[in-house]
Amino acid sequence: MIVPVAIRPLLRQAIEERRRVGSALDDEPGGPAAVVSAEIAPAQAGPEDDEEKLRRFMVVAWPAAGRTPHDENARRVFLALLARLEAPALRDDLRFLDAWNNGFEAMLTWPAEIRGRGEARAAIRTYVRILDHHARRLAGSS
Amino acid sequence: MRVLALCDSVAAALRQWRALRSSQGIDLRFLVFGTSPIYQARTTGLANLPPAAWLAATGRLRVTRWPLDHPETVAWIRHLAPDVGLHACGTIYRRPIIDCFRLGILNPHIGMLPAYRGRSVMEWSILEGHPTVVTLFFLDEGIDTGPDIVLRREVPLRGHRNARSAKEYLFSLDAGLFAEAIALLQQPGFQPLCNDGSGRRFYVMSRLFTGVVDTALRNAGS
Repeated sequence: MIVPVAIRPLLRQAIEERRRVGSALDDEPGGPAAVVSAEIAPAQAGPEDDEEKLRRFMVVAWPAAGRTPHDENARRVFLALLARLEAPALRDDLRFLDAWNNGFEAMLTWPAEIRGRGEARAAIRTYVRILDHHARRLAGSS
Repeated sequence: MRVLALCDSVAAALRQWRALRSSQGIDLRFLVFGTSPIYQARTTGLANLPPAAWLAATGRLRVTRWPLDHPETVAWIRHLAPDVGLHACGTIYRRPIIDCFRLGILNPHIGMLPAYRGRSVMEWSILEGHPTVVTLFFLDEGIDTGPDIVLRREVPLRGHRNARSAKEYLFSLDAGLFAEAIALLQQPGFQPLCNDGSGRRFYVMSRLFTGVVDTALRNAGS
């Protein structure tokens, strides 16, 4: 992880606090979590490297989901593209973890009944898992 | 060398003028675009500001309500035949505008190029422990991919309580750095550095990570 020694404890603290917020949301009553599908419509899909996945999420899906939180299609694309960023978010390049941070912050603005069920709930669960992974890595390196 | 500053307000034009007026060997002009001239005059007191009135009276300041890529604006810039443009506004440039400038349009980017392209690059530099840098380069239509870097200046950040304050400070350096870059461009045999596209593209930093950067800045200043 490309983080200087002085930043590591700050980052670890922030990640652990966020993990607590995410876990608390996941513990709230709501509908069941669905398996997050990384599949999106054929016209929107295609072979992509991680950079392109990140670009599509941050430039297309994330702003759209923030602008139109009640648009079910925008949310579906948002969650599908976010799911595709799970594996790269577990690696060293923090831009991918930060896409999840941004994704979670967008989901916080969604109505609780949407955020608390189905694929949104599963995405929050995945996010907590990613945060847990990074918190453990930072704990081990500090 | 003919230099045209592309500004989104008269106030921005005057800020550039103050920094560049003593530069040697340049014919400096200003284009303020995208808002009504009357609105500009009222909101900035244009008529009452001697420098702006003088610039306008001598044909060095043009205020137009048309957007930058309006055919009339493009034709006016092409007729002026500037060597260098100065990016002092929030617009995105298309090829017809870029092609109006013999050398190009200088963009002050608050990150090290080619390493840090895109958004929140100052914050990412801090998070990754790299120096905070302003890079002046000739832009193209891509995201910080213009191939010629004219100037890179490391700017240590001290005494800033958060990322917003630090960014405002870095952006405020643009006029002085434009003056330095123009002086470099006038040196015989000046060779730009290569922006080879080898870096990564960054995106808007989350509130979570921005909070980490804010704390790091406060710790650095204490």
